[in-house]
Amino acid sequence: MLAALEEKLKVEKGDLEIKPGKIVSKSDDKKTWTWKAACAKLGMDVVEGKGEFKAADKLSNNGVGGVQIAEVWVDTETGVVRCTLVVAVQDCGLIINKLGCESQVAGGVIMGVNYALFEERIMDRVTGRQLNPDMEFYKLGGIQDLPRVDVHMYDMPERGVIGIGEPPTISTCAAVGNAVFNAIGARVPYAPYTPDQVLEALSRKEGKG
Amino acid sequence: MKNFTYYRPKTAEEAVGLLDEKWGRVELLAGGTDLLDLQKEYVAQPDKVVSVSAIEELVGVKDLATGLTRYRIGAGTKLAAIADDANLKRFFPALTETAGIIGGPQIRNMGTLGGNLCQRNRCWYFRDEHTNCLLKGGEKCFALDGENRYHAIFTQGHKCVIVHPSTLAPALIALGATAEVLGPKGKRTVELAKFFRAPSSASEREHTLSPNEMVLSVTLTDHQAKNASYEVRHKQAYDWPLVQAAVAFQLGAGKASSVKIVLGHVAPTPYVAEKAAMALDGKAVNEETEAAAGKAAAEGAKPLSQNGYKTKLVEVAVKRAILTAAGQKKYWEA
Repeated sequence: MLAALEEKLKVEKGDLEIKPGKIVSKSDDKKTWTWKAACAKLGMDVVEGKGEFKAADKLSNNGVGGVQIAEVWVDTETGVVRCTLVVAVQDCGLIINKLGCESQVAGGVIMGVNYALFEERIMDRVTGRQLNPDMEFYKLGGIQDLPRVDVHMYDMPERGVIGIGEPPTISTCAAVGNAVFNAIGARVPYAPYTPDQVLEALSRKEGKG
Repeated sequence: MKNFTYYRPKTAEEAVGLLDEKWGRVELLAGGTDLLDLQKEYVAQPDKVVSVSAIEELVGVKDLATGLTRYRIGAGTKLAAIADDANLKRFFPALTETAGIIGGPQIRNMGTLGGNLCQRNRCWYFRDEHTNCLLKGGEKCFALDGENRYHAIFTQGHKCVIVHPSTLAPALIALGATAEVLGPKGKRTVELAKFFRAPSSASEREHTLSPNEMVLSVTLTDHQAKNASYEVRHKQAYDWPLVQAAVAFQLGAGKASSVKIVLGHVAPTPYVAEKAAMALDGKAVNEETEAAAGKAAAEGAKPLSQNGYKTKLVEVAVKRAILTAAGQKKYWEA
């Protein structure tokens, strides 16, 4: 540290020494710097690096794939659906940032579960106004409403770098819908799968049976 | 938000003195979880806001020790404090369990008992600044033939089809609570069962208080009734129930008596389901009578275009509330 300071403060090599709370010059006792002022002179260390991705033809933003499996509980008396588990297997070619990728997939699944069970823009047919432009009736799941999300990144370096943005949110709603179908034996034809929709699907099924 | 003058009196008498003879120009502020939203949307535009937060006598749960087990809950008591009160929890789970799931922690730590009882309804037409509905001096109720999935199913004769938002009210009515009210002429006591009404114009609110009255407290007496409340909810937190049922009954020699069943979120007021109570009265509490009471509770429902599903939910909520009160196994939980 003293060597670096000697250069920055333009003094002879070996001239500086450390005293309590300050740096002083051995040759000229009028030259002193407080510890803070001396440290401020040190500046930042810089790390620089340059790189180039040469195989531009291998950069791809399509062909991304994934599979999601959902587990739901359906209360067949009230029509309330609770999604308890989503397993998401996602490909994005060469994985560069595994933690970031997994987080992106988990986020996509959470958005997808909300799409499947809660989110809906309710418009008034007479006034043309949105009736739920707020967080009260534009419903979004909280911690208790959202499933455990198990993310498995499927690493395929040979495919090069592929995007991960939106794809993880696409399959969730369908997976939840299929799980609801598997649970109650009837299709709920519209998302979100709200209690009234689920009850209606159940009564249609009973009617047919 | 429109500008207003803020008052923070130290006594209930001073607060009442600041109130007006008509609705609209002065509003009482407790936790603010309802009023501030209404002001921000320009649905409420008071000139004066009177905060009750400095009135110490309004806060707390007191054992009245009159020989009976009787508790007085101050109107300014926070919902979280009601949910956590050991005595209330022991005798009145219908109340404390309900208080404990209102909104989220932030709401429960700001919201008060009095505010919960006197809050305005959550109809999205009423809350939209630009929709001039019946309760804001307009000509018609937009929900009648509009988007009414969350609206009332017991609407006989009502021009406005809101549901009453309070979830404490059905529980308190089932438990036979009374409210103490202060007005310019002094105090009066009113049964909670007679506290609410269906409003149909801008000069009426969801309760029967005069514009210059305020709630001081609610009193509950323990009659050793089994009691519980059940809410059917779309979301588990930060959501309103789709339907709520609160029940209270005596259980002696295996049979239920003094049955009270009150529904929430099905009518412009908390709805006392008398037929359901009759269906259970004098009978053993079992799967069969629980279901019968549920069916009876839904009798007479006249759903609107989009809320037929609520009729089914009433049956289920009543059945599950009775079952919970009787301490039977909650078959719907994993």
